[in-house]
Amino acid sequence: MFLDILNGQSLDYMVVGSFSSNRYGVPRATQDADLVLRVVADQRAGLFAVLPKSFRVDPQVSFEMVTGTWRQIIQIPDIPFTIELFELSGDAHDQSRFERRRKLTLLGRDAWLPTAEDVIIQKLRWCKGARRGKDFDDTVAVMGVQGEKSLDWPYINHWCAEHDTLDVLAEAKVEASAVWEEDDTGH
Amino acid sequence: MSAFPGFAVEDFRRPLRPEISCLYERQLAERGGSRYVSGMEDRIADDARFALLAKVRQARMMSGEERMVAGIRLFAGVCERMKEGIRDERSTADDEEVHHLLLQRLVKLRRLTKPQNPLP
Repeated sequence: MFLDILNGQSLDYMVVGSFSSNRYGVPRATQDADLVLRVVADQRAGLFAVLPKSFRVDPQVSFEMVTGTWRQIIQIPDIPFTIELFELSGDAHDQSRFERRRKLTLLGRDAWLPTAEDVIIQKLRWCKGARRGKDFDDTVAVMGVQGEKSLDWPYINHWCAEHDTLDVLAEAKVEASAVWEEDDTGH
Repeated sequence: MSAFPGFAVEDFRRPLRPEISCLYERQLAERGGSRYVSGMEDRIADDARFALLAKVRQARMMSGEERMVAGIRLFAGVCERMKEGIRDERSTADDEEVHHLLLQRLVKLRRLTKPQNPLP
């Protein structure tokens, strides 16, 4: 499994995207794995050198103009699954969520994931920037499953203010309040 | 043949945790005739709220790791449904061709649902 390779190479990474929102929210179908890596060029080359032959590394490395980082897609043709690697950017929240990431388990393996708060913050960013309904649903699901009292709201509010997403945060809180009210009343 | 080695096709037809999967139906039955109390708008809002509560209750009964694995299984199940559709369209296609067509459709689906963004 790809996580074994990352862990074996002692690479700094975190699993983001739908895997992370499934970890804290309501599971939905996961068609790919998105990972953020903090690696230097030698480490990246070393990683690709040890990949199994069944992994097909897209020869086109895309460079993100906005962040100045690289992005690489790995296909696993035997199973219809894609792994997408993103270089850790200099974006302030990208740095923050990477520093706050937690070591959890996935299929019995160590796996580094962002916190629930950082999943909410990033999903809201996508929700507003890419106008994808599923990001809003994921946000509400994470808020609902985690519960109002377990989340670090000052941290969430700080970054949502930075990203100008306080409006969608407010909408998501209204949706999640159905669950929180039930938590409060115990029914 | 399953698209995901290690998972049998039958696995996707079987609930991951039967006691959780039937929760929504059980709660729906418990609400009985009192489910719809007013106009259509209220019914829609009530249904949406009820569906969210049921999904959250189910998710809370699973561990975080179980929820991540459920995402993989749900996608594997989706692939099996898609393959059944492809076989229905291309009755002469063998397993290899069906798998190839599945990969092509997933690439298209991915383009539609995953816009380019520098920060996932």
